[in-house]
Amino acid sequence: MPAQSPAALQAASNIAGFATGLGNDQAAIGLLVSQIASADWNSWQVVRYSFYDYVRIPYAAATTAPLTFFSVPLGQQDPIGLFAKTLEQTNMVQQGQFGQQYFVIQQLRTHLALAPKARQNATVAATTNYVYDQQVFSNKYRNALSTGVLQMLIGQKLYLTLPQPFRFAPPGFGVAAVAVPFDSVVSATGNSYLSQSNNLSDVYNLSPPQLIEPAQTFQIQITFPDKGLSFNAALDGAAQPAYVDAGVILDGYLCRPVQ
Amino acid sequence: MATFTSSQQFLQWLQGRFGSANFAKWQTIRQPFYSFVNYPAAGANTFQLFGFATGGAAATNLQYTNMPKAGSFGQQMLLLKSLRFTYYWSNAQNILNAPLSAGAAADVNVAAAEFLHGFVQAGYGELDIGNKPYVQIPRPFMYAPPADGCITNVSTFGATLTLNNVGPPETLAQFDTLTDSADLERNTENQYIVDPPILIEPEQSFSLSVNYPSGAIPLIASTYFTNNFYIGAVMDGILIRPVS
Repeated sequence: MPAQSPAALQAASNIAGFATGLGNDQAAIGLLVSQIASADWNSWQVVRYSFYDYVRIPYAAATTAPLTFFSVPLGQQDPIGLFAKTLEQTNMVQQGQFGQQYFVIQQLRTHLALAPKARQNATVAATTNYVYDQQVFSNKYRNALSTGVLQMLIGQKLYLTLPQPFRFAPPGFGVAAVAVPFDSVVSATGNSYLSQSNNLSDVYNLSPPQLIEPAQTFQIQITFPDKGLSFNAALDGAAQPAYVDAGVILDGYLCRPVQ
Repeated sequence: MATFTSSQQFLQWLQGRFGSANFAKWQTIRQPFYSFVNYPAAGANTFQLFGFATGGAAATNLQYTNMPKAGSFGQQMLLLKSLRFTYYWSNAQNILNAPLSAGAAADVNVAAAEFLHGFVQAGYGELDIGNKPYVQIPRPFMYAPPADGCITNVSTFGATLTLNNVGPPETLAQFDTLTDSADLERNTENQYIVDPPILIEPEQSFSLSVNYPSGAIPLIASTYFTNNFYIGAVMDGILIRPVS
Protein backbone atom coordinates (compact mmCIF):
# COMPACT_ATOMS: atom_id res chain seq x y z
CA MET A 1 0.00 0.00 0.00
CA PRO A 2 1.53 3.31 -1.05
CA ALA A 3 2.21 5.92 1.54
CA GLN A 4 0.41 9.21 1.64
CA SER A 5 2.84 12.04 1.18
CA PRO A 6 3.02 15.07 3.47
CA ALA A 7 2.20 17.15 0.43
CA ALA A 8 -0.95 15.17 -0.12
CA LEU A 9 -2.01 15.67 3.45
CA GLN A 10 -1.36 19.35 3.22
CA ALA A 11 -3.19 19.61 -0.07
CA ALA A 12 -6.15 17.81 1.40
CA SER A 13 -6.15 20.11 4.34
CA ASN A 14 -6.09 23.02 1.98
CA ILE A 15 -9.22 21.68 0.37
CA ALA A 16 -10.80 21.03 3.70
CA GLY A 17 -9.76 24.39 5.01
CA PHE A 18 -9.37 23.15 8.57
CA ALA A 19 -11.31 25.39 10.88
CA THR A 20 -9.97 25.53 14.36
CA GLY A 21 -10.44 29.14 15.07
CA LEU A 22 -6.83 29.73 14.02
CA GLY A 23 -7.83 31.62 10.93
CA ASN A 24 -6.13 29.85 8.03
CA ASP A 25 -4.96 26.53 6.71
CA GLN A 26 -1.33 27.10 7.54
CA ALA A 27 -2.17 27.71 11.14
CA ALA A 28 -4.29 24.59 11.17
CA ILE A 29 -1.45 22.50 9.77
CA GLY A 30 0.84 23.99 12.39
CA LEU A 31 -1.62 22.96 15.03
CA LEU A 32 -1.81 19.44 13.64
CA VAL A 33 1.94 19.07 13.50
CA SER A 34 2.37 20.37 17.02
CA GLN A 35 -0.26 18.01 18.32
CA ILE A 36 0.94 14.94 16.49
CA ALA A 37 4.57 15.67 17.27
CA SER A 38 6.67 12.87 15.81
CA ALA A 39 3.86 11.14 13.95
CA ASP A 40 4.84 9.79 10.57
CA TRP A 41 2.84 11.83 8.10
CA ASN A 42 3.60 9.35 5.40
CA SER A 43 1.28 7.00 7.20
CA TRP A 44 -1.75 9.25 7.23
CA GLN A 45 -4.43 9.12 4.60
CA VAL A 46 -7.17 11.57 3.66
CA VAL A 47 -10.43 10.30 2.19
CA ARG A 48 -13.91 11.67 1.76
CA TYR A 49 -16.08 9.98 4.34
CA SER A 50 -19.50 10.13 5.94
CA PHE A 51 -20.48 9.42 9.51
CA TYR A 52 -24.17 8.90 10.07
CA ASP A 53 -26.59 8.06 12.83
CA TYR A 54 -30.31 7.35 12.63
CA VAL A 55 -32.57 7.15 15.67
CA ARG A 56 -36.15 5.92 15.86
CA ILE A 57 -38.60 8.71 16.70
CA PRO A 58 -40.96 7.91 19.59
CA TYR A 59 -44.19 6.69 18.03
CA ALA A 60 -46.46 5.58 20.87
CA ALA A 61 -47.78 9.11 21.28
CA ALA A 62 -47.02 12.64 20.18
CA THR A 63 -43.70 13.67 21.67
CA THR A 64 -41.42 16.59 22.38
CA ALA A 65 -38.63 14.34 23.65
CA PRO A 66 -35.26 15.43 22.23
CA LEU A 67 -33.51 13.29 19.64
CA THR A 68 -29.88 12.63 20.47
CA PHE A 69 -27.49 11.54 17.74
CA PHE A 70 -24.14 9.74 17.75
CA SER A 71 -24.71 8.59 21.32
CA VAL A 72 -25.74 4.97 20.65
CA PRO A 73 -23.00 3.31 18.59
CA LEU A 74 -23.04 0.28 16.35
CA GLY A 75 -24.36 -2.88 17.99
CA GLN A 76 -26.11 -1.19 20.87
CA GLN A 77 -29.85 -0.96 21.26
CA ASP A 78 -31.90 1.89 19.89
CA PRO A 79 -33.87 3.07 22.96
CA ILE A 80 -37.14 3.54 21.06
CA GLY A 81 -36.97 0.93 18.32
CA LEU A 82 -35.44 -1.65 20.70
CA PHE A 83 -33.35 -3.12 17.88
CA ALA A 84 -29.60 -3.49 17.83
CA LYS A 85 -28.14 -0.80 15.63
CA THR A 86 -26.51 -2.03 12.47
CA LEU A 87 -24.59 -0.21 9.75
CA GLU A 88 -27.97 0.65 8.29
CA GLN A 89 -28.51 3.02 11.22
CA THR A 90 -25.01 4.15 12.14
CA ASN A 91 -21.34 3.68 11.40
CA MET A 92 -20.20 5.13 14.71
CA VAL A 93 -18.19 2.58 16.63
CA GLN A 94 -17.74 4.77 19.69
CA GLN A 95 -20.14 6.99 21.56
CA GLY A 96 -19.80 10.64 20.62
CA GLN A 97 -16.32 10.51 19.06
CA PHE A 98 -14.50 9.34 15.97
CA GLY A 99 -11.70 7.57 17.78
CA GLN A 100 -8.05 8.00 16.80
CA GLN A 101 -8.62 9.91 13.61
CA TYR A 102 -9.41 13.40 12.49
CA PHE A 103 -12.62 14.33 10.79
CA VAL A 104 -13.27 17.58 8.99
CA ILE A 105 -17.01 18.20 8.80
CA GLN A 106 -17.85 19.88 5.52
CA GLN A 107 -21.59 19.28 5.42
CA LEU A 108 -24.37 18.47 7.82
CA ARG A 109 -27.50 16.77 6.57
CA THR A 110 -30.64 15.70 8.38
CA HIS A 111 -32.88 12.97 7.07
CA LEU A 112 -36.44 12.41 8.22
CA ALA A 113 -37.04 8.95 6.84
CA LEU A 114 -40.20 6.90 6.88
CA ALA A 115 -38.98 3.36 7.38
CA PRO A 116 -39.62 1.06 4.40
CA LYS A 117 -42.82 -0.92 4.40
CA ALA A 118 -40.95 -4.06 5.42
CA ARG A 119 -39.56 -2.26 8.49
CA GLN A 120 -42.98 -1.07 9.78
CA ASN A 121 -44.94 -3.00 12.40
CA ALA A 122 -46.45 -6.32 11.36
CA THR A 123 -49.91 -4.92 10.71
CA VAL A 124 -48.66 -2.17 8.45
CA ALA A 125 -46.16 -4.42 6.69
CA ALA A 126 -49.01 -6.77 5.84
CA THR A 127 -51.26 -4.12 4.27
CA THR A 128 -51.64 -4.49 0.54
CA ASN A 129 -52.47 -0.86 -0.24
CA TYR A 130 -49.75 0.92 1.72
CA VAL A 131 -48.80 3.26 -1.14
CA TYR A 132 -52.37 4.43 -1.58
CA ASP A 133 -52.77 5.38 2.05
CA GLN A 134 -50.18 8.03 2.86
CA GLN A 135 -52.31 11.14 3.27
CA VAL A 136 -52.46 11.18 7.08
CA PHE A 137 -48.78 10.40 7.31
CA SER A 138 -47.91 13.17 4.85
CA ASN A 139 -49.70 15.76 6.97
CA LYS A 140 -47.77 14.68 10.04
CA TYR A 141 -44.54 14.62 8.07
CA ARG A 142 -45.11 18.16 6.85
CA ASN A 143 -45.60 19.33 10.43
CA ALA A 144 -42.44 17.54 11.51
CA LEU A 145 -40.39 19.27 8.82
CA SER A 146 -41.26 22.63 10.32
CA THR A 147 -40.32 22.02 13.90
CA GLY A 148 -37.27 21.44 16.09
CA VAL A 149 -33.91 23.04 16.78
CA LEU A 150 -30.60 21.30 16.08
CA GLN A 151 -27.58 21.99 18.24
CA MET A 152 -24.04 20.65 17.97
CA LEU A 153 -21.75 20.65 20.95
CA ILE A 154 -18.04 19.91 20.73
CA GLY A 155 -16.79 19.20 24.16
CA GLN A 156 -19.22 21.30 26.16
CA LYS A 157 -19.14 24.23 23.78
CA LEU A 158 -21.99 25.08 21.46
CA TYR A 159 -20.88 25.24 17.82
CA LEU A 160 -24.10 25.24 15.86
CA THR A 161 -27.77 26.09 16.34
CA LEU A 162 -30.16 25.52 13.44
CA PRO A 163 -33.91 26.14 13.45
CA GLN A 164 -36.21 23.74 11.61
CA PRO A 165 -33.26 21.49 10.81
CA PHE A 166 -35.18 19.08 8.61
CA ARG A 167 -35.79 21.99 6.24
CA PHE A 168 -32.66 24.03 6.88
CA ALA A 169 -30.25 21.11 6.54
CA PRO A 170 -31.92 18.67 4.14
CA PRO A 171 -30.24 15.45 2.98
CA GLY A 172 -29.82 16.65 -0.60
CA PHE A 173 -30.82 13.21 -1.79
CA GLY A 174 -34.05 11.38 -2.31
CA VAL A 175 -36.43 9.97 -4.84
CA ALA A 176 -37.30 11.90 -7.98
CA ALA A 177 -40.19 12.21 -10.42
CA VAL A 178 -42.80 11.05 -7.95
CA ALA A 179 -46.48 10.67 -8.72
CA VAL A 180 -48.50 8.57 -6.31
CA PRO A 181 -51.69 6.77 -7.18
CA PHE A 182 -55.05 7.44 -5.58
CA ASP A 183 -57.97 5.18 -4.76
CA SER A 184 -61.11 6.59 -3.21
CA VAL A 185 -61.94 3.36 -1.44
CA VAL A 186 -58.59 3.13 0.32
CA SER A 187 -58.24 6.79 1.16
CA ALA A 188 -61.23 9.07 0.99
CA THR A 189 -59.10 12.11 1.80
CA GLY A 190 -56.60 11.81 -1.01
CA ASN A 191 -53.00 10.74 -1.26
CA SER A 192 -49.73 12.61 -1.37
CA TYR A 193 -46.00 12.33 -1.12
CA LEU A 194 -43.67 14.75 0.56
CA SER A 195 -39.93 14.80 1.04
CA GLN A 196 -37.04 16.95 2.10
CA SER A 197 -35.01 18.65 -0.59
CA ASN A 198 -33.27 16.35 -3.07
CA ASN A 199 -31.08 19.13 -4.29
CA LEU A 200 -27.45 18.71 -3.32
CA SER A 201 -26.91 22.46 -3.40
CA ASP A 202 -29.43 22.83 -0.55
CA VAL A 203 -27.30 20.80 1.85
CA TYR A 204 -26.05 22.78 4.82
CA ASN A 205 -22.37 23.57 4.31
CA LEU A 206 -20.18 24.34 7.28
CA SER A 207 -18.11 27.28 6.22
CA PRO A 208 -15.47 27.27 7.49
CA PRO A 209 -15.41 23.49 7.92
CA GLN A 210 -15.22 22.11 11.42
CA LEU A 211 -12.33 19.92 12.54
CA ILE A 212 -13.04 17.23 15.12
CA GLU A 213 -9.80 15.98 16.64
CA PRO A 214 -9.02 12.42 17.73
CA ALA A 215 -11.04 11.33 20.75
CA GLN A 216 -12.77 14.70 20.89
CA THR A 217 -16.29 14.19 22.17
CA PHE A 218 -19.23 15.83 20.45
CA GLN A 219 -22.98 15.62 20.49
CA ILE A 220 -25.77 16.56 18.14
CA GLN A 221 -29.29 16.93 19.43
CA ILE A 222 -32.62 18.06 18.01
CA THR A 223 -34.93 19.51 20.63
CA PHE A 224 -38.55 20.53 20.31
CA PRO A 225 -39.10 23.50 22.59
CA ASP A 226 -42.41 24.36 20.96
CA LYS A 227 -44.21 21.86 18.73
CA GLY A 228 -43.16 18.24 18.78
CA LEU A 229 -43.53 15.22 16.54
CA SER A 230 -46.63 13.13 16.08
CA PHE A 231 -46.22 9.90 14.19
CA ASN A 232 -48.72 7.90 16.21
CA ALA A 233 -51.89 7.01 14.30
CA ALA A 234 -50.33 7.82 10.96
CA LEU A 235 -50.61 4.70 8.81
CA ASP A 236 -53.16 2.07 7.87
CA GLY A 237 -56.08 4.48 7.89
CA ALA A 238 -54.64 6.28 10.92
CA ALA A 239 -54.94 3.09 12.94
CA GLN A 240 -51.24 2.36 13.28
CA PRO A 241 -48.14 4.36 14.23
CA ALA A 242 -45.53 5.18 11.64
CA TYR A 243 -41.97 4.10 12.26
CA VAL A 244 -39.91 7.10 11.26
CA ASP A 245 -36.16 7.43 11.69
CA ALA A 246 -34.41 10.75 12.07
CA GLY A 247 -30.85 10.80 10.83
CA VAL A 248 -27.90 13.15 10.92
CA ILE A 249 -25.15 12.68 8.35
CA LEU A 250 -21.80 14.38 8.63
CA ASP A 251 -19.94 14.50 5.36
CA GLY A 252 -16.32 15.54 5.15
CA TYR A 253 -12.71 14.44 5.10
CA LEU A 254 -11.39 11.67 7.27
CA CYS A 255 -7.71 11.79 8.13
CA ARG A 256 -6.70 8.39 9.41
CA PRO A 257 -3.51 6.47 10.07
CA VAL A 258 -2.64 3.70 7.66
CA GLN A 259 0.06 1.07 7.64
CA MET B 1 -4.53 2.91 -1.31
CA ALA B 2 -3.29 6.34 -2.04
CA THR B 3 -5.61 9.27 -2.41
CA PHE B 4 -4.88 12.42 -4.36
CA THR B 5 -6.04 15.96 -4.48
CA SER B 6 -4.67 16.91 -7.88
CA SER B 7 -3.52 15.33 -11.11
CA GLN B 8 -0.04 16.70 -10.56
CA GLN B 9 0.18 14.96 -7.25
CA PHE B 10 -0.95 11.74 -8.85
CA LEU B 11 1.71 12.00 -11.58
CA GLN B 12 4.37 12.61 -8.97
CA TRP B 13 3.26 9.53 -7.16
CA LEU B 14 3.37 7.50 -10.37
CA GLN B 15 6.87 8.70 -11.13
CA GLY B 16 8.03 7.90 -7.63
CA ARG B 17 6.45 4.54 -7.75
CA PHE B 18 7.57 3.38 -11.17
CA GLY B 19 10.84 5.17 -11.52
CA SER B 20 12.04 4.76 -15.07
CA ALA B 21 8.71 3.62 -16.46
CA ASN B 22 8.10 4.84 -19.96
CA PHE B 23 4.99 6.91 -19.55
CA ALA B 24 4.65 7.18 -23.28
CA LYS B 25 3.42 3.62 -23.11
CA TRP B 26 0.68 4.30 -20.62
CA GLN B 27 -2.66 5.51 -21.76
CA THR B 28 -5.28 7.33 -19.72
CA ILE B 29 -8.92 7.35 -20.68
CA ARG B 30 -12.18 7.91 -18.88
CA GLN B 31 -13.82 4.57 -18.28
CA PRO B 32 -16.75 3.62 -16.07
CA PHE B 33 -16.87 0.07 -14.70
CA TYR B 34 -20.25 -1.35 -13.78
CA SER B 35 -21.77 -4.42 -12.26
CA PHE B 36 -25.38 -5.52 -11.78
CA VAL B 37 -26.78 -8.43 -9.79
CA ASN B 38 -30.30 -9.82 -9.56
CA TYR B 39 -32.59 -8.58 -6.79
CA PRO B 40 -34.69 -11.56 -5.72
CA ALA B 41 -38.34 -11.25 -4.70
CA ALA B 42 -37.51 -11.87 -1.05
CA GLY B 43 -34.57 -9.44 -1.05
CA ALA B 44 -31.23 -10.33 0.50
CA ASN B 45 -28.99 -9.12 3.28
CA THR B 46 -26.01 -8.50 1.03
CA PHE B 47 -25.50 -7.83 -2.65
CA GLN B 48 -21.88 -8.21 -3.67
CA LEU B 49 -21.09 -6.20 -6.78
CA PHE B 50 -18.09 -6.47 -9.11
CA GLY B 51 -17.68 -10.05 -8.01
CA PHE B 52 -17.75 -11.53 -11.50
CA ALA B 53 -16.14 -10.77 -14.85
CA THR B 54 -17.81 -10.36 -18.21
CA GLY B 55 -18.83 -13.73 -19.56
CA GLY B 56 -21.09 -15.38 -22.00
CA ALA B 57 -23.54 -16.82 -19.50
CA ALA B 58 -26.86 -15.22 -18.71
CA ALA B 59 -26.62 -12.14 -16.52
CA THR B 60 -22.84 -11.94 -16.94
CA ASN B 61 -22.69 -10.42 -20.41
CA LEU B 62 -21.77 -6.81 -21.13
CA GLN B 63 -25.21 -5.61 -20.12
CA TYR B 64 -24.40 -6.65 -16.57
CA THR B 65 -20.70 -5.98 -16.16
CA ASN B 66 -17.57 -4.90 -18.00
CA MET B 67 -15.16 -6.12 -15.38
CA PRO B 68 -12.05 -7.81 -16.79
CA LYS B 69 -11.63 -9.86 -13.61
CA ALA B 70 -13.68 -10.65 -10.57
CA GLY B 71 -12.94 -8.14 -7.84
CA SER B 72 -10.07 -6.29 -9.51
CA PHE B 73 -9.25 -4.35 -12.65
CA GLY B 74 -6.46 -6.67 -13.65
CA GLN B 75 -3.23 -5.19 -15.00
CA GLN B 76 -4.46 -1.64 -15.09
CA MET B 77 -5.22 1.14 -12.67
CA LEU B 78 -8.39 3.06 -12.05
CA LEU B 79 -8.41 6.50 -10.54
CA LEU B 80 -11.88 6.41 -9.01
CA LYS B 81 -13.60 9.77 -9.28
CA SER B 82 -17.31 9.07 -8.79
CA LEU B 83 -19.63 6.37 -7.61
CA ARG B 84 -23.23 5.69 -8.60
CA PHE B 85 -25.72 3.13 -7.37
CA THR B 86 -28.41 2.32 -9.86
CA TYR B 87 -30.60 -0.44 -11.26
CA TYR B 88 -31.40 -2.28 -14.44
CA TRP B 89 -34.67 -3.82 -15.58
CA SER B 90 -34.32 -6.57 -18.09
CA ASN B 91 -37.99 -6.15 -18.93
CA ALA B 92 -38.65 -2.49 -18.45
CA GLN B 93 -41.35 -1.75 -20.99
CA ASN B 94 -44.21 0.29 -19.61
CA ILE B 95 -43.09 -0.05 -16.04
CA LEU B 96 -43.23 3.53 -14.87
CA ASN B 97 -46.56 5.16 -15.51
CA ALA B 98 -47.97 1.76 -16.34
CA PRO B 99 -51.75 1.75 -16.50
CA LEU B 100 -53.18 -0.63 -13.96
CA SER B 101 -56.32 -2.65 -14.01
CA ALA B 102 -59.42 -0.84 -12.85
CA GLY B 103 -59.78 -0.86 -9.11
CA ALA B 104 -56.44 -2.53 -8.57
CA ALA B 105 -55.44 -0.51 -5.53
CA ALA B 106 -52.69 -2.83 -4.46
CA ASP B 107 -49.01 -2.26 -3.84
CA VAL B 108 -48.05 -5.19 -6.03
CA ASN B 109 -49.18 -3.09 -8.98
CA VAL B 110 -47.40 0.13 -8.03
CA ALA B 111 -43.93 0.32 -9.51
CA ALA B 112 -43.21 3.50 -7.57
CA ALA B 113 -43.55 1.56 -4.32
CA GLU B 114 -40.04 0.15 -4.71
CA PHE B 115 -38.59 3.64 -4.64
CA LEU B 116 -40.89 5.18 -2.05
CA HIS B 117 -41.18 2.32 0.42
CA GLY B 118 -38.79 -0.41 -0.61
CA PHE B 119 -35.12 -1.22 -1.00
CA VAL B 120 -34.18 2.36 -1.93
CA GLN B 121 -35.18 3.59 1.52
CA ALA B 122 -32.89 1.31 3.50
CA GLY B 123 -29.47 -0.29 3.63
CA TYR B 124 -25.96 1.00 3.29
CA GLY B 125 -23.28 0.89 0.63
CA GLU B 126 -19.64 0.12 1.23
CA LEU B 127 -16.50 0.18 -0.89
CA ASP B 128 -13.63 -1.79 0.57
CA ILE B 129 -10.16 -1.75 -0.92
CA GLY B 130 -8.12 -4.51 0.53
CA ASN B 131 -10.17 -4.89 3.65
CA LYS B 132 -10.36 -1.23 4.51
CA PRO B 133 -13.56 0.78 4.04
CA TYR B 134 -13.17 3.79 1.77
CA VAL B 135 -16.83 4.63 1.30
CA GLN B 136 -19.59 3.82 3.76
CA ILE B 137 -22.87 5.57 3.10
CA PRO B 138 -26.48 5.12 4.22
CA ARG B 139 -29.30 4.63 1.70
CA PRO B 140 -26.80 4.26 -1.15
CA PHE B 141 -29.35 4.50 -3.99
CA MET B 142 -30.28 7.96 -2.76
CA TYR B 143 -26.96 9.10 -1.34
CA ALA B 144 -25.01 8.14 -4.44
CA PRO B 145 -27.71 8.11 -7.14
CA PRO B 146 -27.23 7.33 -10.83
CA ALA B 147 -27.16 11.07 -11.58
CA ASP B 148 -26.91 10.32 -15.26
CA GLY B 149 -28.97 13.26 -16.38
CA CYS B 150 -31.66 11.13 -17.90
CA ILE B 151 -34.81 13.17 -18.36
CA THR B 152 -37.81 11.64 -16.69
CA ASN B 153 -41.17 12.81 -17.89
CA VAL B 154 -43.91 12.26 -15.34
CA SER B 155 -47.37 11.79 -16.70
CA THR B 156 -49.77 10.98 -13.92
CA PHE B 157 -53.27 10.94 -15.23
CA GLY B 158 -55.20 7.86 -15.89
CA ALA B 159 -58.44 7.17 -14.14
CA THR B 160 -61.36 4.90 -13.72
CA LEU B 161 -64.66 6.12 -12.44
CA THR B 162 -67.28 3.76 -11.08
CA LEU B 163 -70.83 4.90 -10.53
CA ASN B 164 -73.39 3.39 -8.22
CA ASN B 165 -76.05 3.26 -10.93
CA VAL B 166 -78.74 4.44 -8.55
CA GLY B 167 -79.46 7.77 -10.23
CA PRO B 168 -80.52 10.13 -11.27
CA PRO B 169 -78.77 11.85 -9.67
CA GLU B 170 -75.90 9.41 -10.12
CA THR B 171 -73.47 8.90 -7.23
CA LEU B 172 -69.80 8.06 -7.28
CA ALA B 173 -68.78 4.65 -6.05
CA GLN B 174 -65.07 4.68 -6.72
CA PHE B 175 -62.43 6.82 -8.34
CA ASP B 176 -58.89 5.69 -9.03
CA THR B 177 -55.88 7.28 -10.58
CA LEU B 178 -54.09 4.39 -12.05
CA THR B 179 -50.67 5.67 -12.85
CA ASP B 180 -47.67 6.14 -10.63
CA SER B 181 -44.10 7.22 -10.98
CA ALA B 182 -40.90 7.46 -8.97
CA ASP B 183 -37.27 7.10 -9.84
CA LEU B 184 -33.80 7.57 -8.48
CA GLU B 185 -32.30 11.05 -8.69
CA ARG B 186 -31.05 11.74 -12.23
CA ASN B 187 -29.71 15.22 -11.71
CA THR B 188 -26.00 15.15 -12.48
CA GLU B 189 -25.33 17.63 -9.70
CA ASN B 190 -26.29 14.92 -7.23
CA GLN B 191 -23.43 12.67 -8.32
CA TYR B 192 -21.33 11.25 -5.49
CA ILE B 193 -17.85 12.59 -6.09
CA VAL B 194 -14.93 10.64 -4.69
CA ASP B 195 -12.83 13.54 -3.48
CA PRO B 196 -9.89 13.19 -3.36
CA PRO B 197 -9.93 10.50 -6.05
CA ILE B 198 -8.79 7.04 -5.03
CA LEU B 199 -6.29 5.08 -7.06
CA ILE B 200 -6.97 1.37 -7.30
CA GLU B 201 -3.79 -0.34 -8.36
CA PRO B 202 -3.30 -3.31 -10.69
CA GLU B 203 -4.61 -6.55 -9.20
CA GLN B 204 -5.68 -4.72 -6.06
CA SER B 205 -8.75 -6.52 -4.76
CA PHE B 206 -11.76 -4.47 -3.85
CA SER B 207 -15.41 -5.05 -3.12
CA LEU B 208 -18.46 -2.90 -3.45
CA SER B 209 -21.60 -4.04 -1.70
CA VAL B 210 -25.15 -3.02 -0.89
CA ASN B 211 -26.19 -4.36 2.49
CA TYR B 212 -29.38 -4.65 4.50
CA PRO B 213 -28.11 -5.80 7.89
CA SER B 214 -31.40 -4.95 9.63
CA GLY B 215 -33.25 -7.40 7.43
CA ALA B 216 -33.85 -8.11 3.77
CA ILE B 217 -36.31 -5.86 1.92
CA PRO B 218 -38.68 -7.89 -0.26
CA LEU B 219 -39.86 -6.52 -3.57
CA ILE B 220 -43.20 -4.75 -3.26
CA ALA B 221 -44.32 -4.31 -6.87
CA SER B 222 -43.92 -7.95 -7.66
CA THR B 223 -46.19 -7.67 -10.69
CA TYR B 224 -43.38 -5.99 -12.55
CA PHE B 225 -40.12 -6.76 -10.84
CA THR B 226 -39.92 -10.42 -9.97
CA ASN B 227 -37.08 -12.18 -11.78
CA ASN B 228 -36.11 -9.23 -13.97
CA PHE B 229 -34.80 -6.58 -11.62
CA TYR B 230 -31.11 -5.94 -11.04
CA ILE B 231 -29.29 -3.52 -8.78
CA GLY B 232 -25.80 -2.33 -9.43
CA ALA B 233 -23.18 0.33 -9.28
CA VAL B 234 -20.94 2.29 -11.58
CA MET B 235 -17.38 3.18 -10.65
CA ASP B 236 -16.40 6.04 -12.89
CA GLY B 237 -12.92 7.41 -13.28
CA ILE B 238 -9.72 7.45 -15.27
CA LEU B 239 -8.33 4.17 -16.48
CA ILE B 240 -4.56 3.97 -16.77
CA ARG B 241 -3.50 1.05 -18.90
CA PRO B 242 -0.35 -0.08 -20.70
CA VAL B 243 -0.28 0.15 -24.46
CA SER B 244 2.14 -1.45 -26.85
